[in-house]
Amino acid sequence: MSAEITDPELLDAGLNVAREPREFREHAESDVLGFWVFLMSDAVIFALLFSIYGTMGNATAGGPVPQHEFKFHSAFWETALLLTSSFTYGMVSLSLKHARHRIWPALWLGVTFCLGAGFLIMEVHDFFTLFHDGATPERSGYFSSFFVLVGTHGCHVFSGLIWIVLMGIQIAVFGLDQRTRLNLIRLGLFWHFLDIIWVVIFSVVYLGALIK
Amino acid sequence: MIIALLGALLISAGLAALFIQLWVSIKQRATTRVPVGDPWDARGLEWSIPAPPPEYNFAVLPQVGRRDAFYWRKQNNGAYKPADHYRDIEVPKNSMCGVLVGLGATACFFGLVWHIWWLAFCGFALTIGTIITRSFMRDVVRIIPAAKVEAHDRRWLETAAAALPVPRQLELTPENEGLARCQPK
Repeated sequence: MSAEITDPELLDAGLNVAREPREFREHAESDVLGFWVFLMSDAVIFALLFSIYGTMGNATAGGPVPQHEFKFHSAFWETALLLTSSFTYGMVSLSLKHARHRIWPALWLGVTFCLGAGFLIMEVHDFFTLFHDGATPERSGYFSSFFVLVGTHGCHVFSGLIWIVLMGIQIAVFGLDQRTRLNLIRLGLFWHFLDIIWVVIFSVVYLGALIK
Repeated sequence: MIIALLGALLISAGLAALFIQLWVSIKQRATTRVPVGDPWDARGLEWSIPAPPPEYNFAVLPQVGRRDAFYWRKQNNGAYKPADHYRDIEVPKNSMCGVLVGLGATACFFGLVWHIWWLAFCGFALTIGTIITRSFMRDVVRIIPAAKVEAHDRRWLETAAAALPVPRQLELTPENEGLARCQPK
């Protein structure tokens, strides 16, 4: 019989659920589905912020304009850092499945943390530069919508970083038990989701300003 | 201002109705209780279990083959029968976490609305702290043994067997113990 996508061993790559008791497989399925529902509600928030940003494109009120304010090399490196961190989180999931020792997922988690922290530091630095140039949220409708959209994403990355630290502690305390692995799967979904949102932000906000 | 006041009065009336209903229900509980669980010849599976329901809801997970499964079972003399085989049921242990998350979130948003920043911060910290602490808890489920489930279910089935099936016209009387007389199709 050919492998269906619904086969338990294919459902959640890092869980190795096929070797687990049936009860855990059922728990894992509903827990991960629940997290997908949360992510979709989060996606609705970003969809709203994007639509507001879209309507504010020209509302610079005679103040600073994005094509002069944005540092495109900085946005490029931020994108590189975040995309690479998504790759390293993929390595966390792979090592969950294949590695013999918990040091490997923990190590890749550490690399992911450093890349995410690097992204956040660069973004905060960019924000301070904008503030210094007078491009503050209260200056114009455009910068209000810019800061709330990109800032919300930044807050998400920050909470993701806290979550990574907590998962590092859980791996140290509990090893790779069922709960820890489930939590790591959910953190992975969250982290990749943030990456996708950033790709849209980069395309709409930064490349959009470059076209002008 | 006037409209907001009227709205507030309307919402208060709604809340008052809720509390009046609670008060009346508690006061009349001796005559209105329906332990068998099906006071009005219902169709859905939620009426096929005792009232109030046990913490695990269904003693055995029902197999649903068609719409209105409970009604169909009653029509074909398949309701109120013991299961062939009872299993252990896993339920969550009692926990303060949900209450603390709710309290913290309420305090946080109250503080945000009224610009009480210390309260908003404390509420936020309580909510997030509880969620993080919860993620470190491992021993969070409890097993109800199959024997206990079976005993509980059989006791309820005895109640059902002893109850008087009531027809439509007696539904609102104290005769109703939650066992409906099945209407012919």
